[in-house]
Amino acid sequence: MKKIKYNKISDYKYEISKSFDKGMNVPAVFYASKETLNIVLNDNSLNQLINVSKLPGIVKYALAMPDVHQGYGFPIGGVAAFDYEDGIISPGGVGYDINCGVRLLKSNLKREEIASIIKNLTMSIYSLCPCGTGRGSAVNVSEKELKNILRKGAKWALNNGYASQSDLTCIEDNGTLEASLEGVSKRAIERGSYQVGSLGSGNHFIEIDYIEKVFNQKKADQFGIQKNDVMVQVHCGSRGLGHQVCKDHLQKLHDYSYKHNLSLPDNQLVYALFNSEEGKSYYHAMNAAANFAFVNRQVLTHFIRIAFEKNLEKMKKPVFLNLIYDITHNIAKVENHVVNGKTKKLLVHRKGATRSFGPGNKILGPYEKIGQPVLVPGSMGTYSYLLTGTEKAMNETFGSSCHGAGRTMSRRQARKSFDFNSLLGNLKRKNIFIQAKSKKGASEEAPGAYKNVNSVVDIITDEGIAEKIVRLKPMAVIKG
Amino acid sequence: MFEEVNHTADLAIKLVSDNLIDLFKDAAYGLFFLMYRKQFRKQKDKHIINLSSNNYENLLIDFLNELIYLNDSKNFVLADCDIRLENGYKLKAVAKGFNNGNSPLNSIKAATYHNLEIKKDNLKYSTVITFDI
Repeated sequence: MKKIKYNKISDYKYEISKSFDKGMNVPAVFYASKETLNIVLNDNSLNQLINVSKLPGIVKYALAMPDVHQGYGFPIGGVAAFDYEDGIISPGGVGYDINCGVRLLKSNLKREEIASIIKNLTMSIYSLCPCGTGRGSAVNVSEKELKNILRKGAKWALNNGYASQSDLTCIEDNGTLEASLEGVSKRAIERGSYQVGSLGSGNHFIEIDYIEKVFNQKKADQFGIQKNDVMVQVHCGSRGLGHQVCKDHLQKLHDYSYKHNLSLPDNQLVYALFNSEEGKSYYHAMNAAANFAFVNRQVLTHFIRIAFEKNLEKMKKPVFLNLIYDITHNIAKVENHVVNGKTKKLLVHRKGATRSFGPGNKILGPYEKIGQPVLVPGSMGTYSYLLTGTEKAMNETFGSSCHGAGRTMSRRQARKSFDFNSLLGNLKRKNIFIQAKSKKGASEEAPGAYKNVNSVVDIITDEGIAEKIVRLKPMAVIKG
Repeated sequence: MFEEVNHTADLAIKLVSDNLIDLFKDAAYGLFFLMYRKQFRKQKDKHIINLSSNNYENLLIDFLNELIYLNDSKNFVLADCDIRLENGYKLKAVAKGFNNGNSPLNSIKAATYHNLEIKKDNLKYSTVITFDI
């Protein structure tokens, strides 16, 4: 592997020229600070980004957000846009957990109102929201209902009493993407049927937070949030159904690759022309899996609301948990962007990255004037951020931002470095209650295994890709 | 033989085996070790797996993903397996183990094709497999 040569373009932006490696169609651009540059250079993520730049039909550059780290196929934190007519679609640019995403809910409660019941509240949520691997769902659905979920997404949740109309207006694309079930296998449907309303494991979590700091009072007021307000985050995806859809289509696209004698920089980056039968089949199946993920997060929200109501019924006021926004991290979407002064229809792949549209876009619904809410969860026990997208993001990153802090340490190293009981002690000292299905899993997610989320968000906001609104601090964490 | 190697976001194993069939077996045992951090002996249930692919690399990943599906849907854990590889990149396997009630310590979503290459050096077969978790 040759040493990566790069040029510094601005304080936090670096470019690897397209002449650096044979086969690069566009430059590779990444964001890093002095603190994170060495981490980025040493974990193979830039080699993965260079591979992305070699894909056909890629437009402008292959991008890596400041939380970039080594994945498979695309790096995590990778963004790439492909021409709608002549470009490609690649499941390796989306990942197995299709529409893994995060949502942020705002309560009408203050931190001090739940401080004394935080443990019971967390345990109630834990008992209502299945965590961990394999079978386990908050609601049982028939095969017919599951197919409705895949076609209708969050509309299914609305029609079945798990969502309100206002929830749907605060989900990316209102929680429903254009889907077809032709490319969704029987096995994918089987796996989905036993996981509707389930958290899963790995880095998925439910977190009860409070607003610790307000950076932009005017915009915070527009969101209707204040210091010390209790908030909830839910981070999960499409579970086994999404994994199966990805796996099925990777197999089909390997056949496509053989048929068309394609040369691939990495077998995980297998692709099809977007306008081919195979490309469209994956796109519509991916959207079906994304619809499942929207429903999954919505059903979990329904049960979190029940837990809040149950634990706070002694209070003489109704308890609300209103959705601020629900965003997707792993997806390929058709979007219009200005490239070289002309509006182009593109297929934007985001793998471990967040859409970050600036103000003035009608698809943002209630957020058209202030810009899209961008949610950046930090590592366990540290801060999370609510940001808003900017015009500069539209010009420079295809309207994209980071999706978290980004790992620095392998899971193996983290297991060796962080003992669960010490982790528990550290969280306790910070007044954070943790409920985890797996102790080893929690150790792997220790804050020390991640970059400092404050530094990552500073890169994003100093570069003008998003704007800070508020910072959140956890009170309780549920890990799968 | 398998050993865990560092990967920033996911999990990875390095395999070195005497022949191709052992490489497939070691990959399967390594997969379940990553999930449960122990090896199993009980052989109460068995599943027949028949697969074909375009090359051995893809066949290996398809085989591991079949085992991941059995674990996800039936809580199946692998103790032993018999494998036959036939011309045309075909695999016939009998996976022996039992349906375990306990969740794995690490959930694995899938075996990936990332940079996968089966190498043959000094009569040994080797490769590195990355798993999405």
